[in-house]
Amino acid sequence: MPEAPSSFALWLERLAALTPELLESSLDTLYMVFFSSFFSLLAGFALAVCMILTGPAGLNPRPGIYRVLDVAVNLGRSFPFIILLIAIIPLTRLITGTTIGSAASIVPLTVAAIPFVGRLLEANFLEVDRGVLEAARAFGANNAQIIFKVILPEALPAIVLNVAVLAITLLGYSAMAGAVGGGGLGDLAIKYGYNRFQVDVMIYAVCILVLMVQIIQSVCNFFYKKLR
Amino acid sequence: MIQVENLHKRYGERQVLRDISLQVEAGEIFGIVGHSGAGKSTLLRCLNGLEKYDSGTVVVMDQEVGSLAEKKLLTLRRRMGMIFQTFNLMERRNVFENVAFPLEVWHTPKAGIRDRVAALLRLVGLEDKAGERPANLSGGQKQRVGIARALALNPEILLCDEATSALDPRTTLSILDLLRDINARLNLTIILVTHQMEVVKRMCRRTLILDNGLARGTGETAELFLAPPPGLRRLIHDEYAHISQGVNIRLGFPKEIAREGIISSMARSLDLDFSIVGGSLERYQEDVLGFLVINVLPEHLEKTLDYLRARKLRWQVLDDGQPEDCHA
Repeated sequence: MPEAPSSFALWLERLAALTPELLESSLDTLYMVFFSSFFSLLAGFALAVCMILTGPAGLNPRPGIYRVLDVAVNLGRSFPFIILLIAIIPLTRLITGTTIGSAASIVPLTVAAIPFVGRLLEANFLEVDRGVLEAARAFGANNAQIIFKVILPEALPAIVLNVAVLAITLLGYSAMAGAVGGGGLGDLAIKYGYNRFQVDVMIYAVCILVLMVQIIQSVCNFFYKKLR
Repeated sequence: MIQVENLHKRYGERQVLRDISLQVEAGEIFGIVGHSGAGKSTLLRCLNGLEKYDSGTVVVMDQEVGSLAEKKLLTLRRRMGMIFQTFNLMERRNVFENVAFPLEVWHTPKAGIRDRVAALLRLVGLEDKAGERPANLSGGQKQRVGIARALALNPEILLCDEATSALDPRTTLSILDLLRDINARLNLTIILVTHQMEVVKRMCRRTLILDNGLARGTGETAELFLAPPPGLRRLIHDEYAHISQGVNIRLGFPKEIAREGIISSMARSLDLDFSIVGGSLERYQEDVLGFLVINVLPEHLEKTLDYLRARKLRWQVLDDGQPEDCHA
């Protein structure tokens, strides 16, 4: 008489069946988080540079321009992500040609993160000792040299920590994007775990998200210590 | 080298510099001294255009700083080094890279940077610290790095903003000696801003005394401190504790008689008693000058003053801590 499979064996079998889907969703999530972090860092960096140039204690103060940027950043940050996701569908379609899937999610994720990154980096840049900037100016450095040779390198360790903040925030947002067909672990958790009552899928998805947060933070902490 | 005329500057309502004029000759060490908030750091920053001014002219090496276009201003700054109270080194660059910074800014080739930085670190005595981060250095070492960095571009003028104020007395002396050595060796013009009176006395042949944005006195350092113009004494003299009866007289000993036993011979020849209230020895560049505050009874005052006049001593009668009569 064949032995009935143990519950452990059953669980293992079930996990094996789910693995391809969990793996694919994980990769989708990483893909979304990586590219939206990357693009928002680029754009947010440019934004932060504009803000420290034009800001009240900036290298080239332009109060009018700064006020516009400041208000725009606050507006962008106060916009609920779920609304933004829907509001910029035309832009998403224009750029990616579609509105569903993880590639399409990168657009709203990036747009939502740009003002956030701008503010984080502005704060990092402002933390650089003003005396050091003054010294650079006293030796004849121009604004571009001050930004790329002084401010950016001096702020780099703090920026690395904020990259972790950014990536983890985007990880959370990507789960939300999943809710409206964005793909990734959030999508998986909702489709199977919530809508089809497959609680174990939801638990696996959440566990992987927790793991990802831990890894992102640890990697950034490692580089922070190395750079300091 | 530097001519400043009728310089005015205000921050909003507050007038920080009022009608400042000064001249600095090539190769001299010029002092700007005053209490904190007197406007001396602002004045220094007007010289290299880090601060703008409202009216007046600042001519540095034949160029009027306020009317220079950005490019020209950067080129002028290239010829002026600057060191700071807080050193202002980049924490993430090591000593070598900090000193190399001005050279990088002006696109010096790599090999040139290596040789120049090595020579500079030798000059300031830090050749063994090239790989250290500033965080691992003492205050005096950090200021040496600052000096090496300031000299990297072979400047003609060195601006020192409270360069020794964050250092202990011994380190201060070693930094001052280094500055004086550089001044002599490289014929570098040095402008020294400080609130430490001893520093200007030790270093500067000529000094400007700044108080609340106003130039309160300018000229030979020794003259200023030995025979301060009225209104200035309280600024530059420590106030002496005094005895309620009698009159306090502050004596200054010029260099020729600083070492003679002037006090005991005065007591002997006048045959009267006086008490010594305070005194100090101060170093003016190469000379040591003495100061003594003595207390005499009012009825002996004229006799004492006659003696002092005959000996051509510098003296002032201090009344209630406020100097009122003076003889230089």
